[in-house]
Amino acid sequence: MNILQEYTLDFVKRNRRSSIAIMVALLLTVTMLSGLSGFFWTMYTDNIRLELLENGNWHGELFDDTYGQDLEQIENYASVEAVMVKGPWQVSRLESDNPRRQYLIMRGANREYWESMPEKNLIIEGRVPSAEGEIALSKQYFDAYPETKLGDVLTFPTGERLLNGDVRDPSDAFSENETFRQTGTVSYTVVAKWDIATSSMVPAYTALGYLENSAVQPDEMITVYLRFHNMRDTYRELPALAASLGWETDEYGRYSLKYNSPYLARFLILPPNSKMDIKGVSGTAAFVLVFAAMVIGLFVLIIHNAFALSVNMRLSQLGILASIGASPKQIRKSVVYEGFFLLLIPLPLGILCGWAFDKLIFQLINNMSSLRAEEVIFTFGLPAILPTALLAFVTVWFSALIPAKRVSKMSPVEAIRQGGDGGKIKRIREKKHSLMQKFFGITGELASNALTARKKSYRAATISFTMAFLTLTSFQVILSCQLASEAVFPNQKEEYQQITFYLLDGQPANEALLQRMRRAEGVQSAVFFSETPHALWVSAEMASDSVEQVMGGFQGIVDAGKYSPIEQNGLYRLTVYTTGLDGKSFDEYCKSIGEEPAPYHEENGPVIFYNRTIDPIKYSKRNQAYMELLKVREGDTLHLSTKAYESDSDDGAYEFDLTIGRITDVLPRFQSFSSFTTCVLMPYDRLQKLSEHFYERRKLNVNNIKGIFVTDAQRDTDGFYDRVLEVSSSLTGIANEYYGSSDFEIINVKERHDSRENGYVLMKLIVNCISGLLMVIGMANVWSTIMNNLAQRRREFAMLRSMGMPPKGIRKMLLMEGVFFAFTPLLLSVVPFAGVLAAFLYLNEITLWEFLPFAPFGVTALFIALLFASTVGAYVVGERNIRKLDIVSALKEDRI
Amino acid sequence: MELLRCENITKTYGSGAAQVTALSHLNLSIHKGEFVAIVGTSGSGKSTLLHMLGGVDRPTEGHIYIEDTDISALSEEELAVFRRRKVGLIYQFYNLIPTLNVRKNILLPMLLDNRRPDEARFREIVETLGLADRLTHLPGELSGGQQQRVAIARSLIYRPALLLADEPTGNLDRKNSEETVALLKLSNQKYGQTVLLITHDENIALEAPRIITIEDGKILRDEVSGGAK
Repeated sequence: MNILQEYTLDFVKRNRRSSIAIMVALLLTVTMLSGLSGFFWTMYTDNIRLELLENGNWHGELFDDTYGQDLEQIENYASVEAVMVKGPWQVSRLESDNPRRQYLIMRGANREYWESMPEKNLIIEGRVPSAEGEIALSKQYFDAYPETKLGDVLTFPTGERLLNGDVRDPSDAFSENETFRQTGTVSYTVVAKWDIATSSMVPAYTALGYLENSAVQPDEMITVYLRFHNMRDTYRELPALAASLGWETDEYGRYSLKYNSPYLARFLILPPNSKMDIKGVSGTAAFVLVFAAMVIGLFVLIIHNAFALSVNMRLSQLGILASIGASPKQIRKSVVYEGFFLLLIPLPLGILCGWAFDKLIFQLINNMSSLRAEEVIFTFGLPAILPTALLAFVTVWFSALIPAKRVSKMSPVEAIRQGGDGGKIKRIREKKHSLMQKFFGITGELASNALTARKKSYRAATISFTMAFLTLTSFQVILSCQLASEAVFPNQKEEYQQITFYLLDGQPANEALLQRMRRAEGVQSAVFFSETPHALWVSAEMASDSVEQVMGGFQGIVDAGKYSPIEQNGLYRLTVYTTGLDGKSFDEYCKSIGEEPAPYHEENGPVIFYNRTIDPIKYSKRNQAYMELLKVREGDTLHLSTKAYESDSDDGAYEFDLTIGRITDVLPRFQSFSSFTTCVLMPYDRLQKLSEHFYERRKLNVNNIKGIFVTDAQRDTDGFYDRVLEVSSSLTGIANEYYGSSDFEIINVKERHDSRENGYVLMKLIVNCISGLLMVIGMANVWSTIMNNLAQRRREFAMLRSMGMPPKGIRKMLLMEGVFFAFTPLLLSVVPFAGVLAAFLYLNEITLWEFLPFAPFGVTALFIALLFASTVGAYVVGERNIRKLDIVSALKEDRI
Repeated sequence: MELLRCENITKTYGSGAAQVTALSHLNLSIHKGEFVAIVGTSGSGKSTLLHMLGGVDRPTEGHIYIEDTDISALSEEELAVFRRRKVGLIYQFYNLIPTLNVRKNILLPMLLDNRRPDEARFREIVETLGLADRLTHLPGELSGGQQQRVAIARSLIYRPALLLADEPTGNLDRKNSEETVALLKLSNQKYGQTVLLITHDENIALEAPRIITIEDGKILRDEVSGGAK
């Protein structure tokens, strides 16, 4: 150890109070850095883990037709580490009464596939298939055939699904007229129950078996996933492999390949020439660097003051060293060494505290099970420790460097002189504190002067307190504004759409089911409907006067670049949904708008056209402004096409005309559309008839009806959500009698409410933790700043007492100082806080009056109380020490 | 041989109406081996002059040459090395590092240079100054006279060309004051060091062969006394 290090270490040991104060500040800093590092590292590793769990461990897929004859070449390709193969589907006919589940479709997967892909995680009972003929069988089969158990050997006729003589894909949707042609028999040994549920749109149970690569026939089509030795080569090697297989590129010069892009991106492996992603990566890197710089900057701001105080304490010593010949660089090093010495204990302790803090946070997150299906697995380790240590060293280095540079620039004489001055006190011009003297007398003026003279040394403490206060109150305000907004603008869904039922099997709904659901106990009203999008091509002249005025016509809408309408060949494409309501609901709707429903039930009857759209300029939560969309009249014809999107082009387009019977500006309560999207309404039966001309996917769309239920639950009562849940469970039970669990879905407002509540709780938890930590840092900072400053002013207090100021007077002066000091963060926070409040009131469209019932008075009051307690408390303790002062020795004392 | 030359040295503090001139166009020449006392009233600028010569403060105008080096033009790093090796500074209040023992306080300039001390020289100095049995003590455990002797030893360790003493006896009783001056004279005679001694004590000033009187930042008198050798 050289002399400077020895001297610095000695100084640190002898000046315990200031050393401990700095160590406490460093401990809190390292804790926060460690907590942040651990948190981000855990989220990163856990996301990768989830990615692997949910999507499997693969890098790329050969998406084009790949055959068994290619397998050997693929396996032997130098850069390929693993080949995951799924074989072709095998269809077996079941002896089944259920026409919707006539088949069992099975495909084999090789050992690599089973080991690497997510399907193995779905095995509920049994084991992964490991030999030809073994299968993992869907749980739906077990439900349908309860006598089935693991180990059973099932034998079925195997063959082909036919429709009108053509062979169908084993996974095609059900068709009434299809038949089965047997080509053989197959036996399967059931080794696992598989947690897979499929909609009966495909009339089959599913199984996944075992495949030996050698058993794949040359002409069999297989699905191939790959993993490369070096994943960074994926975007280069996969196309090279495709080229070596003799594939042809498409019109864009690309092979039909798929990449596990989300997984690869986590390792910063991006597609070549991907400008957006490069922007994203450099954006992410820039964000990380900026965030790290901000965190360091914040802590440097808070901590450097503690070092400055310590430097002031040994200013004259540093001046002496300089006068003897210590260079400015050596002086700076001494101050920086102090920082590093003081970091030695807080660093490992802080890392441990950060680890504990994270562990607690993730435990709390995992306890809120509704937030995530999978628990977060907390990981810490070197990737969290090393950045913490690095950032801590950088923080300490910068924090110490600021006062170090200042003192190294002073001449030795200046340093020696100022060191005997009780610390660098700004030579202020005499400030007139006439208000202080008027209201608080000379004591108040002295208190105010003391704060002004030392404002630099109090600055860091003030800043950290102010930041803590602002962080806490701002987040509380944001949350409170949201709550207030939800109270002022209650979610419409909780009134009109408490339970939603989705039918997913692609077949016409079972009427008996719908009737039972409508009449179920607790159901106040039910609407069943289907809506499917179509394209309406209009000319510019058809824009309403309002659209012309507000948006500059349809061209203005297109030019805005943020709405769905597009322009092609001088015409504009609007999306119009054909909405089919169940008969009863349609009649009720007609009644509500004063329209006779009968004509609309006729096959070629008219439709009700909703000719309104949101006025995007004026629309707000408070002011729900709409405008007319098209220049149309009753009796006009709307020419619609099923080709609503560009992606529909492969499926063909059906065009049809609908006559407008009634133009309305009232929609069924549960419906809403985005800007410049609208709908026509008709009875569901008519829509279903119309859909017979649609291509298959659209037809299935129409069949997949939705049900909207309102219950008898009393809103704004404690039991509201529980009653909704009760009715929802009852409806699920009814649906289960008619459909498999995978053929429908029922959701309710309670689930959303619970998820939102948990989100609030989590956000509050994180905010309170961060604010709490900032608050503790602030309190520690304030405490050490005040205690140090008071210690350095012993001579000043001795002078005041020697001149006749009684102990009570000193106490009063210090208490006033404490109170003035405590007010400073509050006063500094007023303007930014008001800004945050105003901004979020505006964003949530609520008034201050509406906000007040939700305002976080409690938390704010607690925070202010802690602020005053710590500040005034430090002065109280300091005053006790001053009271014990011996006046004479304090007047004489050399501060060294 | 001329060791030290000041050309037109001026030092001012503050600006405008509040400007204070501590030294005003001062010119001075000191030869090697001289023992010079600088006297003057309080606020005359004598300490300011000493600080300039010791490189612990910079003149506002003018040049200071020590061994033909213009120290007023040196960078901070160069000036620090100069202070370490070429000058020995002794203060009224000793200015020892309270957390280092006597040995380290004395060796401090060498240790700052990362040099191994010449133990023979060190031993000679501490024996001459009567500090041999105090080497492990901290400054706080020494009397005022002993502390000043440590400061003198520190200033001698590099055998600098120039010793500058700013009121070295100001905080000492008569006996210690006499001893201190004797040590400085010894240093001057035995090692041929040039000594500049600031004092307001006439008796001490008369010990020096040459007395420079400073008033209002200017040299009032520069005379040879019949000072004891």
